[in-house]
Amino acid sequence: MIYLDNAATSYPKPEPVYQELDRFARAALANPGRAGHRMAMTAEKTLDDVRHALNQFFHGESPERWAFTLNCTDALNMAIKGVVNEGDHVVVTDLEHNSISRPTRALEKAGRIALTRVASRDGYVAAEDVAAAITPRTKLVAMTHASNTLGTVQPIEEIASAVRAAGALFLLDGAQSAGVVPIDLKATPIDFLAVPGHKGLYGPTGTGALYAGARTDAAIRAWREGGTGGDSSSELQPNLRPYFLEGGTPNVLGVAGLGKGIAWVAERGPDALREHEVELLQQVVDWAERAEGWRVAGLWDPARHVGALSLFTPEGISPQELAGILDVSFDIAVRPGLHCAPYIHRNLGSFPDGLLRLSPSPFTTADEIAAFLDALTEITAGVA
Amino acid sequence: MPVVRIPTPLRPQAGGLDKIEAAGSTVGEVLADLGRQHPAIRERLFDGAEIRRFVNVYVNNEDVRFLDDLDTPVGEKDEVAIIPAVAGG
Amino acid sequence: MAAPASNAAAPDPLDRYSRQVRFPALGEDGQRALMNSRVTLCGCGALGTVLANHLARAGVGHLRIIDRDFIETHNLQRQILFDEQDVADNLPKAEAAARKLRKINSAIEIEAVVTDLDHSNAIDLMGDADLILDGTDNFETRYLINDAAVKLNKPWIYGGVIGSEGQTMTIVPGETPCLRCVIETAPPPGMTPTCETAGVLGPAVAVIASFEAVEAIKLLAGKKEALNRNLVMVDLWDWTFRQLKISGLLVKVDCPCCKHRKFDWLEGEAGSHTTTLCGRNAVQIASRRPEPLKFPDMAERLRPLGDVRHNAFMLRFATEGYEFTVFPDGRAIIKGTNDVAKAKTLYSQFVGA
Repeated sequence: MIYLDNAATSYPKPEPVYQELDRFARAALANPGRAGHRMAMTAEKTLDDVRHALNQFFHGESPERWAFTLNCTDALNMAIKGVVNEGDHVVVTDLEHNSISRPTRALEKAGRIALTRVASRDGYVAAEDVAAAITPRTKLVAMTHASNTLGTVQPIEEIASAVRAAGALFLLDGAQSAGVVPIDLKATPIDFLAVPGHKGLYGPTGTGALYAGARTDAAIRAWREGGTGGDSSSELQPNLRPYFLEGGTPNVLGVAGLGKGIAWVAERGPDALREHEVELLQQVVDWAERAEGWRVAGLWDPARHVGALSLFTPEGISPQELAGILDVSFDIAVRPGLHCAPYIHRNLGSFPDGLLRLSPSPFTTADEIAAFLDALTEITAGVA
Repeated sequence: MPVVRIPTPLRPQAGGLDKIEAAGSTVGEVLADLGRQHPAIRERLFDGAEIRRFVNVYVNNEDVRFLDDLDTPVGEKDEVAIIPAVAGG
Repeated sequence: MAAPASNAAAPDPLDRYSRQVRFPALGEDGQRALMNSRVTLCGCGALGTVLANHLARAGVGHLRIIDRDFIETHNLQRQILFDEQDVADNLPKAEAAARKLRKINSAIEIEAVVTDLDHSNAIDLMGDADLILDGTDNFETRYLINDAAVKLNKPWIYGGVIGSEGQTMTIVPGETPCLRCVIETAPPPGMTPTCETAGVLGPAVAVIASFEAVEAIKLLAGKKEALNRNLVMVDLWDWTFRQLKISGLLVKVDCPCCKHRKFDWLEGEAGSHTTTLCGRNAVQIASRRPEPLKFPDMAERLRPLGDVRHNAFMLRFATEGYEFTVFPDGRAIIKGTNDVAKAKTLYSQFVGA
């Protein structure tokens, strides 16, 4: 199979990730606890080590600022619902995945917040448009770093500074960027960073993390309360980080795998990984310029792009049909449809049929992309 | 000559006939002769040398799987029936 | 206090069944057994309405009727429990049948279950039954019923009809071959006609359903020795009747289901898996098929019913406001509905299963 759906979850994982999952499951799969037996402490140490790795990789303030989550959606919900209060104003963009759109839209519909959705142009949000949307009541600006549909990387450094200047909190959705676009939490005023473990950091599914910076301390409520492996006598969720946000037994096995994934990415560096993916996409862009009926969605600027790209399909054949044919007749996995991001498809005019998205990985080769493009050519030629 | 009963869904491939005489002394030979007379049927019945798994063949009302499959002997007066599964309802 | 007058004349519950109790092979003991029995009827279309009608009138104590569909005008030609008012009221088939049957026989319990019978609910819906009856129109569900029946060690009766011909066989796990022994695998979609593509005659349905019903009565009344253990086939147009001996297959066939107790359909390993597409008025039905579909044959069958086009990669078919895109592996995207149950019905009607 040629797997071009890495924006959904990366496959394959680097070999050390598989090895660690197997080793850890056999040797150390205890419930973590700071005051437990040796195996419990090994599990706890794994969590601490990976927290440390995350902190180093993203240049955070300290490992305790990282809470493990189920995935990026979980982290985003934890941040949004943890800080937003009655009467607050929240700013998002039309590039958001439903993991930001739905919780914020639900709060707006319930009459609890006011919501502004900033429109992108050609797949990019302008910092001045975000700044203009901020009001004195704005509590939170929540937005994606890279569009999961278009792969366009947003100017978050400028935006984060504008948000900080206005006194609001900045929540960055790193679903498509963590691991391929450098994120520096010291250099950029990001208050919350939500990352998935199973995409560009090459952990297994069921892993994610939320970074909550110092400015969030006064604002955030524990969204999920429960056991924390220590301080059991406290009636309420203990205020101690990171346990404050981590009620319940964490996915220690997944986190152990994630640790190896982060190490693998750190060794190569995000820039090198991104460049490989963008080079592969350049093949597709060049092809689409020549091929009749095909068009790249959004502006193609390789310097500001991650390894996901969506295509408008020729008249007479829908993205769903193409994806079905690619799977059945060519054994190629891509993702058709709306990519859980309906607003950007409305902006682009591709709602409700959506687009055909491909997302290569460091393991994808130029030959595989060529085979994908040959398949598109053959299919399109076969459509009466 | 043995007679092959053609089920309704296969009749378009058999010139509309409901029974066809075919030569042979085993089920395999009889069906092969049927295939020579009506090549369109062959593909419906066989996948290479094997009978397709959703086609059941009976000789005088006995399933050939209970007899000798394609080697089941067929006499001059015997009837070979092709029985497709019926889905509707 | 005076007792209500009606008490004095309380009828014997057997009275209403007197004409069948007098049939010596059934008798009073058989009737009492019937009245204490429970049946799960899977599917309440053409076969199902005839079956339900017979069994409710015969006095089966508890009848559970499962069907996912709603009544349409073109059902009335053969689905004997429904009328034009039911279509106007847009009633589910199971519910309409239950209402009609309660008027026919108020002495029995009738339970309508409007649902898509699948591997998640099959055991629940069949577990308390003494007998399971097939009123379905597709092999996906029949293999599921077969898995559940063999696993639960309960008898079931297969029936299928197309055009003027039909088949039926009774499966008693451990005593007779099961459906997978006899029909090892279902024809791939598009390889066999369906009632939608080839048509069906009401009398043919009634004959097969009546065969099923009489075997059901034998089983429920404890008259197992009278069962017909052959695969029975009839063609009413040609007036052919044929009984195929299948009992030998019980020993001969190394059946994955009844020999090795591998319940592929019940465990959700085989069969179709549906997914509603994200943000569209369409449902995708995924299907695992042993061999690729033959689009030219399929197109020929569908052509009288709507617009058909195909190439090597897909077949498109538009009918009744729905648009089908079928792939060579049997997978299909059905546009025009978000209702998974409706999409499954359309799939079995036009693509076949």
